[in-house]
Amino acid sequence: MVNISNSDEHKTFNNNTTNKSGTIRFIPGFNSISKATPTVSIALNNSRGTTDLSITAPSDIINNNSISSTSSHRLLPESTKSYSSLRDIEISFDESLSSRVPNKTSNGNINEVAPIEFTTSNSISQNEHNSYQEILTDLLSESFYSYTPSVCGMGRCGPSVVSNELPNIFNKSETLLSVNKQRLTRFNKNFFIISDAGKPIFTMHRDDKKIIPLAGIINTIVNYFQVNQQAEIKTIHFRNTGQKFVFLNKEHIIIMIHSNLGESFKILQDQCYFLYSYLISTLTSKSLERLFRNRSNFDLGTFLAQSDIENLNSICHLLSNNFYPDIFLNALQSNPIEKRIRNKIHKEILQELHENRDIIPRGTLLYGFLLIGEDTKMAAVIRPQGHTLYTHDIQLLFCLVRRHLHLNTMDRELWIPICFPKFNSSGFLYSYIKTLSLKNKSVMVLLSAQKDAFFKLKLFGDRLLTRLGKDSHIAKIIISDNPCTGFSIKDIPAPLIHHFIFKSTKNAQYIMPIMEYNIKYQDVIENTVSCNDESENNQKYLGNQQKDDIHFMEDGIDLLNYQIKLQRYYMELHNSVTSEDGSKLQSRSVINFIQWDGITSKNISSYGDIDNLQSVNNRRIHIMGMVWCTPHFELYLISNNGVSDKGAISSSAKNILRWCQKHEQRLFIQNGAIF
Amino acid sequence: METIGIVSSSILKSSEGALVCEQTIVNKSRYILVWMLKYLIIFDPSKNGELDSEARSSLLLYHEFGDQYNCSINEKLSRIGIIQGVWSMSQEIADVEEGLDNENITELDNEIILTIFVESRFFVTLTLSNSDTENVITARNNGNNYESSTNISTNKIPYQFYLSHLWLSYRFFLLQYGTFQSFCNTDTHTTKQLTNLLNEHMIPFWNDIYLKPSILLRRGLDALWYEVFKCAEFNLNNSLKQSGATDNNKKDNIDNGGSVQSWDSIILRDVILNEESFPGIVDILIYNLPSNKQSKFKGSILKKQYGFIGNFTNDLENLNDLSNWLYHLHTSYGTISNHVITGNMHYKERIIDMEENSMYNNAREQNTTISNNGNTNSNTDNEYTTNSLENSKLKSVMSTLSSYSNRFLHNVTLPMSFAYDAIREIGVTTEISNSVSLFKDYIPRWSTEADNPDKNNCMDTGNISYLERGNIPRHGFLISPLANKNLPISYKIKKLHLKFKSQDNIRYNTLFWFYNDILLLIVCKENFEKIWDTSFLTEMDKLLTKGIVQFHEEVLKNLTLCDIGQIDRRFAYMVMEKTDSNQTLKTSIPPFFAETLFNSLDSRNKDNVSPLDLVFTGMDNCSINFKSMGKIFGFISCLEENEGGKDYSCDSFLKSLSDDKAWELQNNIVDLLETFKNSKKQLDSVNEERLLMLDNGLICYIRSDPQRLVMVIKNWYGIQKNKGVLKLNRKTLLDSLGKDVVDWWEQFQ
Repeated sequence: MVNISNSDEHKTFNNNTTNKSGTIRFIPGFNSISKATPTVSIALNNSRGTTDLSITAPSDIINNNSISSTSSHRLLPESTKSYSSLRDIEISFDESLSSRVPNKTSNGNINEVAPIEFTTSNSISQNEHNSYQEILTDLLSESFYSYTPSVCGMGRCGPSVVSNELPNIFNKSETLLSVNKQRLTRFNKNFFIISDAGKPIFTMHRDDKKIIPLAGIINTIVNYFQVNQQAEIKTIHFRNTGQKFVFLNKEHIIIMIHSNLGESFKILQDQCYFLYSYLISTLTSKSLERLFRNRSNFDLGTFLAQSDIENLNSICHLLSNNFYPDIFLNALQSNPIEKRIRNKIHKEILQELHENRDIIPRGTLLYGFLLIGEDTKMAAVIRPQGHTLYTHDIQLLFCLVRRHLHLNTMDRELWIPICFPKFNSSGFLYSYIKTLSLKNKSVMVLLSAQKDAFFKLKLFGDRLLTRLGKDSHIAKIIISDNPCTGFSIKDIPAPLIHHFIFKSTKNAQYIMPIMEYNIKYQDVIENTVSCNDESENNQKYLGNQQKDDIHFMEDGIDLLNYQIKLQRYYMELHNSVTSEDGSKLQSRSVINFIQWDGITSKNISSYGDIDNLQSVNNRRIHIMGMVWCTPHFELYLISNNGVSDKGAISSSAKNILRWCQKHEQRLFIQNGAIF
Repeated sequence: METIGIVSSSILKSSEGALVCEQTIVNKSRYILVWMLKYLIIFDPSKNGELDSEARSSLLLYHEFGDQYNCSINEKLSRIGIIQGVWSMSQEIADVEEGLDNENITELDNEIILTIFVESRFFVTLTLSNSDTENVITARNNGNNYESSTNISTNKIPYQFYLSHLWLSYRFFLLQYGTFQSFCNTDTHTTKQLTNLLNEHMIPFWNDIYLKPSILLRRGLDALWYEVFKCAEFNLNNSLKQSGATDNNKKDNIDNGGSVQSWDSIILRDVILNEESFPGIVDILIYNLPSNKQSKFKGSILKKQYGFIGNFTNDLENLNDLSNWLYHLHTSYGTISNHVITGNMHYKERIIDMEENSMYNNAREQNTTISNNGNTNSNTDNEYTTNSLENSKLKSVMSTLSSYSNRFLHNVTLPMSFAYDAIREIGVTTEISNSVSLFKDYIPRWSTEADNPDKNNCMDTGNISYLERGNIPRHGFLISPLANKNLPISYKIKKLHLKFKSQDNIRYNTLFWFYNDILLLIVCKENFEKIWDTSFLTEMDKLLTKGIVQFHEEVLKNLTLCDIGQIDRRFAYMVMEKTDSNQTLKTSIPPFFAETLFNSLDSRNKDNVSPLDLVFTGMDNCSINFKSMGKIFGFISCLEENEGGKDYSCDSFLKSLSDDKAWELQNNIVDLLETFKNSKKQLDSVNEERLLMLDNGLICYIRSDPQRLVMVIKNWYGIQKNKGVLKLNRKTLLDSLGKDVVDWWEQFQ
């Protein structure tokens, strides 16, 4: 047990690794910080024989007390002896250093807040030091996680030195709300699908005056190299401006992506193929061939249904303006469920299948999934012995489900033919999609190769649902309106980590904690203004999908902005260890730390306050990211703002790894229900 | 033993070549692929509207490399059209600023098209091909348990090297002839003149790379950035700085005349500000271009001390281009001689006997068909190049004659050689070898430099006044009016277009002077007639000698063991300043280019048969063996003399990396640096640091901020954890690299 005491209160923390007790005595001013503001966080930086602490000192405390936020302090045990016996650590603030107070603006905001740093004495022995570190780790974990992310950022307290705010250090990307852009050139990313006769089929951002001649140019360029040099054009890269163009020339269809978002060519090529796969999934390659064989100048754009265009739009937005790591990870997101319960789900499914052989004979059901949440996390898989579907095909299916979840059409049962290009590009499979819980957004997907198997699958699905509902634990996860799914970053002993993605290469699945984010109120205001500026001229180009999306985004703009930020960070991390062609820099394993630091300008990071929108002009950024790739796993993580100690990050990364390995069966679907 | 060879795919088709290829696959050998240069196009689309010559006026240069067929004018125009099409499409979709000097890379299945857009008007396009005709450099590593990568594409010379050299070729043109635009503003005559100059400059530049792709890598990673130039790192405790001395500094130096003058003040006061020369001599640029053999510290060309030492003004704007030009010449030809500076030295394929041909055929660096007449197979298709073609024919005939005469001489003296061998054999066995040496004097020799370098350094150009004999240093003018009267004007004066601040880009006369490894470039005004005065030049030679001798005393003698590579650093670094006012690069990272990969001919061929010769043209069209020219700033030849041909030009642990690992590391670094290009962070406000730990035991740190790019490579296992309290106000990833790196960085800053 470790006792942490101060003059006002005592907190007790469990410590599994030490039987000693220690007391950290806080001076009253410091204590008042932790009481007054839940956003106080303490950073443990323990490396190379030193222990450094960065302590958040909220502005009001700094202003009202004599504590200098920029002062450098030493966290010194009174003596080595007293440390080892009493485990007392006293934090004292050196008033003499208060001259280094940060600049204050007239409105009371602080321009710059430097970390308060502490250093332990070198005389502490290594063992003592280790246990000391553990104590502090626990303390800091508890301190950090003891608050709930506030919706209004830091409130009146102002930003902390270590903050779970995630500033945007990247060039702003347009969101759906920015559809008022007049010119194509102003979009950071665009998707073009044209036929090989040069007819436009689909464009994400349209400009009718330009799209037809542009389609002609794209077609000419692709055909020129094909005819004259018997070669396919793959990419065009403007290195000075970072503009990238990626081409995919499949039979009768040319897809081009333009991007300025910094993705590697491999990712963009995968995205091209993803769009092509969607076309195949709706038409099959056979019918596509038939359509164009008869008439090479066939206008596929008019042939596609409105829903197809909307689905394509949805995919494009997912690939450009959303957090969708599935493509660059080439994996599916798994929903963590207790191993016992997951096994029970699989067992119940198999039992139901076995008992209903008369309704659903062998061969009727090909594949099945239980998905939870808007981001279609896999909870269970039903699959035949010796068969697996390609990740790429499953991603297509999940995109479809995701789309219907967004459209709120999930109160109905759906029977959708879908072609899986990698599985069999010339035929359809039929998917029965049933919503299990509207609030939970849990979905059951059953696949069959038989066109008329709807009623069989429906009956089976109903019975399965009834069966699963009988078990309270299972029901709580997949049917309940308030499910206990996913995990929070707080559940893992990984101090100072804001978010992470862990991919199990073996299972082609990844997990990540649920998103806990703070609204950038300023962003909301900015984007609302942007939305109001929409011209009528551009409104007409918006399909229903986009309008729906805008509606969705008005509700969820904060989440979306946060997701886009995460996407950019993870993209940077991923790119830092992969070359343009997607190959890893090293064949075996690689660890890469990235530290972003600097001062954000007003328009990048504006920590707003609902009551007072006066933002701080300059704000320090210290964010560290880490990538750890081995043949067995990939770990991407982002620290909180204010962290600059590699040792602390790598220590947390190891903790995450240990935690993931320990709970592997809970986190990932190993086999599924195999029949 | 490591054997590394170069095979071309055309050779692979032959039985012998195929055998080599199969063997290398079985032996898990490493292939290094070289992009094949396909064609070079320079055009001006603004001339498209003129119909007078079938829109060909837009085509300034069209050159196809190698044995390719002559394509029709329609094909040429279609290629121009597609380059423009790609550009205009991107302008329609993306914000590609037209006014900006930009570059684009179009990647096809089997080809890469590199295009740079210069002067807001001209396109310069180079096409690389990896089709059937690609070259394969095979590096075997029989001794090591190296597993070759399955991904062969990772073993190509990164295209970034070609792109940077495309920029360099353009910038070198500017340096020597001025902007393209200055030729295209008036009439068609000047356009033709531009075409002729492009033929003279661009084609030899790229032909050398076509024949010897290793040129791209010889400079190392610093060749990736054409905007910056390498600076030598010396402890200069005086007014001369690499950013240039100010006028106040000049005055201070002059006033400081009482005591022992520093080396730079000697040059400044006695040469630049001398009554006779002021203000005719505008600046003097000083470079250290050491060679292995001539280095004081045997066995190491130190990357750290290589390059620009300093100059006496701070307003020379194209100092980067000027420096890069010299480095390019030095690394390409292994020497800075008067022939190299005048642009008369180039590679050409060597005529060899049939037996020799079969010996080195498997190991050629290029797969170009060896032409019987020694022509370099340049296939220039341009209407305005008639004269050049005629010249080239003449040259090829002359070189053929020269080669025949060489062969004839060889045949004539063959009996004498046999006799000599026999007598020497007898002499050795009977221990009367001394008497044989008398006979040896009668044996005619032509490549005698190795035997008696002093004599052979005696160039017939008359510029070198003093030759190194024993410890006597060599110095003298390389380019100056002291040159032989019969030599062309280019041997007397090198005209360069330099831009000083507050002045337009104007031509200056430049002289080149050397003292051992130190090269001085003396920039004079065009109207400064004094340089034609022999006595003035002789006096200047003495004064420069005095200054550089003082430099040796002050600087070179004070180098520490670490500086000279006697103590290996545990890390290598590169710091690139990228602000407008300071575009310099300091590095200790050696070129990750193993001579063994490219000079494998020597290792494979006991007779040291090379398919390439350095020749100089323009004087008498005679092919002269490179070794007979005298070695002013030897580079390649010295390296060849090293064991295994390995480049020892480094002062860090990286020299102990095997060729494979070094190559792999280079490609990884290029990839890493490329990912910084992809980064979309707000450049003006956010700095980025990366610390990459690779599984090969290396740790790579890169920091990018608006001012500079810093890279440190360190041995993972060499990192000693910092003990004691780490200074908390310095928490960066750099600290993780250990105390030695932190100390270096603090010192460096």
